Amino acid sequence: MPKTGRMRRIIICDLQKCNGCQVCEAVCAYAKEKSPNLKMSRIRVLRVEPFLNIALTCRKCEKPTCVKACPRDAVTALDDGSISIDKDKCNGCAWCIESCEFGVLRLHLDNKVAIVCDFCKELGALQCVKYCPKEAISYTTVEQAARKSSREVAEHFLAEQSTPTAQP
Amino acid sequence: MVETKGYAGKYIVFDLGEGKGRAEAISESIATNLIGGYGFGARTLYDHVKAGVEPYSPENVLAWWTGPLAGTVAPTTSKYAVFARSPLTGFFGFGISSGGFAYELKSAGWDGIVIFGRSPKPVYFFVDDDAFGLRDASELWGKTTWETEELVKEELGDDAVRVASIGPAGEGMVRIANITNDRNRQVGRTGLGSVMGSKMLKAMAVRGTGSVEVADPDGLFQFSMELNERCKGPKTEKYRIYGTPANVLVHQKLCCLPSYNFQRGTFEYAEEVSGERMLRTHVKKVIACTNCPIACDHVNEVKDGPYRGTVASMDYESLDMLGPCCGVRELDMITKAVQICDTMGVDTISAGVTVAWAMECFERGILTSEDVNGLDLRFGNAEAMIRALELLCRKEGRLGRLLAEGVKRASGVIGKGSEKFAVHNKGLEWGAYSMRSLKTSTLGFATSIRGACYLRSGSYQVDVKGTVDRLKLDRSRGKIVYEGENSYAIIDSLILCKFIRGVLAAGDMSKLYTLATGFEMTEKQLMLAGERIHNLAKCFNVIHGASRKDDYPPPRAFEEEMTDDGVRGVRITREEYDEALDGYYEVRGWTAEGIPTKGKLAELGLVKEGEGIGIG
Amino acid sequence: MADSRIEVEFTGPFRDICGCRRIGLDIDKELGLPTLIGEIASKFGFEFTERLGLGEEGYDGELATVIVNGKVVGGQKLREIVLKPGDRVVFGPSLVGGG
Repeated sequence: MPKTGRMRRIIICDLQKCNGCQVCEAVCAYAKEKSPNLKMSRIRVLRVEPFLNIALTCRKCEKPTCVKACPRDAVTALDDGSISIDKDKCNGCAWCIESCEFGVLRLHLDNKVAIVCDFCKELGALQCVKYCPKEAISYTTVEQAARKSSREVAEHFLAEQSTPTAQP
Repeated sequence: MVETKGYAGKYIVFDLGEGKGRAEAISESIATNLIGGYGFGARTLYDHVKAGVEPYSPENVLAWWTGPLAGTVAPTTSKYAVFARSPLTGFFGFGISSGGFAYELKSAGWDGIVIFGRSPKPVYFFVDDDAFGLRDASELWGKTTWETEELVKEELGDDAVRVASIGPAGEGMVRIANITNDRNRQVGRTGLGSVMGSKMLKAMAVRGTGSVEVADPDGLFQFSMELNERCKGPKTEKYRIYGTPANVLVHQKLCCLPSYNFQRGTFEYAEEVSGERMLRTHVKKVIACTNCPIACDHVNEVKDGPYRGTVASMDYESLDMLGPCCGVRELDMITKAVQICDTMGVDTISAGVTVAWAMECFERGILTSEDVNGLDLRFGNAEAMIRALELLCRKEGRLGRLLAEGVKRASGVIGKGSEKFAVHNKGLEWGAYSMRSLKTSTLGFATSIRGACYLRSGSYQVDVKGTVDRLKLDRSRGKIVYEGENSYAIIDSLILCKFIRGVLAAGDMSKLYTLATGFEMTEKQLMLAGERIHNLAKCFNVIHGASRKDDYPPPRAFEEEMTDDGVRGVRITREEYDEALDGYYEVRGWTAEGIPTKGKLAELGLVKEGEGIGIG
Repeated sequence: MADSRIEVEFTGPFRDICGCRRIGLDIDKELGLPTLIGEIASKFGFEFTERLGLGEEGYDGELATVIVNGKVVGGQKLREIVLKPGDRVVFGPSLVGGG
């Protein structure tokens, strides 16, 4: 049964925990390219001065703009929502890269074709999740991510109000 | 070009006057003998800056070096070092910074950049993978370091470019000016920002899209992940949670928190400026340098008051020097002071100590109201401190022009006994470690190659761990400083962040070196290289006139007794200091005047340098 | 009588573990420093001894600084220290350079 919609699993980076260290970029580049070149990473770290740091990668959009954009049908969505790019069909036009609202596709520096996170299918374990030093990155369903936020709000703000006051 | 792993194998040599440069190769012999970073910088300075070269002249070199580990997956290695003859000390000028700059430069395919000459007009240097050259900086001149970074990125149309720049202080050749990169990181000490200013060099920008090749990619990756894991443990907790400001209360309890221009070792408001308080009320975020699993950079934000919204990266040294050392107790004001220094481009340690000296002068009547631009420049007056810093950064007014020269020259100009409490060694202002109640620390500070600083030896550690009696020096302390210096010379050449040293076991540094470069290197060979590097740097100093007389702490350490409870009466005696200094020179294999002998240098493979110095 | 107490202060992580800046302990005779540590741990939790890096040999000077009457107690010397009424003890993190 395809895992889309609320059970779609994506990589989520906790804004509170991310400090912009780029270790996720380093391990991704190593895993995919055996290189320390951070610009080959499939996950992208942004630092917006002075306090915002976040790592972003493919969201497995339900209606992926990158798939729609490709004039050569090089970009397809798999059953789990992740994106597959056919290296042989891709001519590096970068229309898919431009179309992605999250900017998570890139051009491979050597072979100049589009690349995107494939959720470490061949490795069987997500490297960025495994090696983030602050455990800021998790691989979870969108539903769980939302529930986590709701739960934090509930625990933080409402715990006291949830118990009835003693009757005189 | 030589095919190397780890190293890029090449560096840029550039003449600002001609506006031209070339690529030069790094030989295997230089690499394995001097490792990188500090070692390469020592080589550059010794070879190219002869006796008599004025620091602000075009003949002074400005060298930027990374180490073989930069740009690899090894943690905390995005570090670069800058070298020149220091305009503040006249000796080995050197500082290390982190952030993302080094990773980018190495990825561009360069181990370093050695800059000669002077540009006729404001320029910035842009390295774009294998291309490099100058760009006009006339629109950038006058801008702060933060503005410069944004403007360069905008001009180059690339916000991923890394920028290291000077602020207006460096442009104006404020002698204690520094270099800032990636906004929060600095090459702080020895006035290298003003050397850049003297060359009309506003900034260095770099874009690197290449891949650093290493000898054993899998081996290095595995070991790096293991190190990252170790960095989650207790040995790095002190950096991650409270950060270095956790030092404030420990120093306070040991009466070694420099306060009121090093008059005292305790501050009655220590709790208000403690790391514990700061974490609760001011730290907004803790951020990391590129490829660092620790993350120690505590960034403050002022929540209310006249400086509401001020943001600055706060570390222990800045905190003490612009806090207790100036008698200032308000974290809001200290944060503002740090922001001024970071954006205008001035070293917070040198600035704090120089302003503190001026405060003491004012309280003693040595400086009059007219001398200090009408400021009420007493200890504890934070607004006056901030105003004094602004004047210093712009060399404005009598006070600004005086303070911009650093404490040694300022006290030389004013005289009237103020030299006695100008707290520096070799002209470099002392850091946040008491001179009198941490005596092994002081030995390390005063013998340091670049002047008052513990980063070359870490000798304060034995004092604060109770391994030795911190209140009494003896002949054996020299060995502690010697071993610290050799080991730290390697850390500063590989270049690793010192904050990872707690998780490194014996053999780990040479292991990292071999995994990256493929060159065989035992720990013993590595420590020997450390000794060699230290001696080479020392030879530079000797050529420029350094000797025993330059290896002493300032008069306050000897002539005044401490008054804090617990260390009442403590001072350093000349006898005990001379004894310890003799012991240090002996272990080093140097003469009683602190000069490396020919024999010692030959042992280290520095025969030519031995001839150059010509002693024994 | 004031002098029948030992004053114990906490800084850094030890403040978090113990939830306070200082405690006073009434003692009528001498008290070994290891015993004091044990008492603090049983009162505030064994995270205290863990954070000290307390082992067979003493405490880990890389992790913590223990000060008695203004003198740093070297990690190995921990077992030798005997406290008397009026003594002041501080438990803090190790010093960490400064940058």
